[in-house]
Amino acid sequence: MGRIEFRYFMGFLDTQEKWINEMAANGWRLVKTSTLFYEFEPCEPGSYEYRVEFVGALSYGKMRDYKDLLSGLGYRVLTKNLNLNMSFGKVRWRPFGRGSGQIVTSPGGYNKEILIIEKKADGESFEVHSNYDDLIAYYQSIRGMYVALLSIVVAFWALRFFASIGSIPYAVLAIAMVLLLIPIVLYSRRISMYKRLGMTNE
Amino acid sequence: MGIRDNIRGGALTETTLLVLLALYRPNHGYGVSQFVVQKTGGRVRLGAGTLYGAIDNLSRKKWIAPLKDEGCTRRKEYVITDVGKQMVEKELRRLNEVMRLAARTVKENENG
Repeated sequence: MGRIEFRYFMGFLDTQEKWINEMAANGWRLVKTSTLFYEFEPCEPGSYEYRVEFVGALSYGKMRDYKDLLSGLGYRVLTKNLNLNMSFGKVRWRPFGRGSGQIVTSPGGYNKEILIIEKKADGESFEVHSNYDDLIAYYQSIRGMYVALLSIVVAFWALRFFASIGSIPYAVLAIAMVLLLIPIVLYSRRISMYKRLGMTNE
Repeated sequence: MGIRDNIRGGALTETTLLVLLALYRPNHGYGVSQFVVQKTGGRVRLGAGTLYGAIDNLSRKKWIAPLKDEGCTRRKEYVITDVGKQMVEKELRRLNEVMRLAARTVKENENG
């Protein structure tokens, strides 16, 4: 018998990864994901490991290349949305994308900001990012998303403050700014840690 | 995922060098990964994201190039370009210099 769990992690990638790995450790293998649900099947406890990877800054073509490479390496890959779908029509602007990764069309990119990578547990290490430069680039891409979102909130605030446009209460804007600043600070600290380590080691 | 492939002094990172070496023969991601593990005796294992970042970055710089699509397979194959080979040769000269310097310094201080 399968099992369906309702979960919404917002941007908390680490929390999501930990939860899926705990499910696998307890004998539940992730078989399917949808916007708000995760579907599991029974498995030998601890036989699968998972990594949750942010790919929202990649264009659709690159994301597919990356997925193909991952499958070529023997991993199973599931996609997951980062936030709830708030697109209108078939095109959506992803402010945190790079270049053509900014415009997402359906079917394709949107609601697929996250890859969940599954590996059969075989005792070998399962690090997706294995050198400092790449770790730095990866966390910069996540931080970039929060910076882009923060600038939008700041723009809303400025329009309201200077031009009296919009009706979002200041308190809501302030809370949003703080909520976005937290991950920016946390990821910045991680980035500078890897930069320091990268000065002496490759 | 923009990965820095050379440090200020012009040295290639080990990841970059190993990926370039793996592509002297056409290869796909899995092949590159296997090459690196085998040739370094397991000392270096490239994470999948790191490998993808390196391939993406090197093909943007045209140090490697994707092979023409050969049918139904979705596994993309890549091969090193002439520019890429020049970079490897330059790195080889640099590594030789560093090695000579290190060997000489260590030896001089042993005897003194």
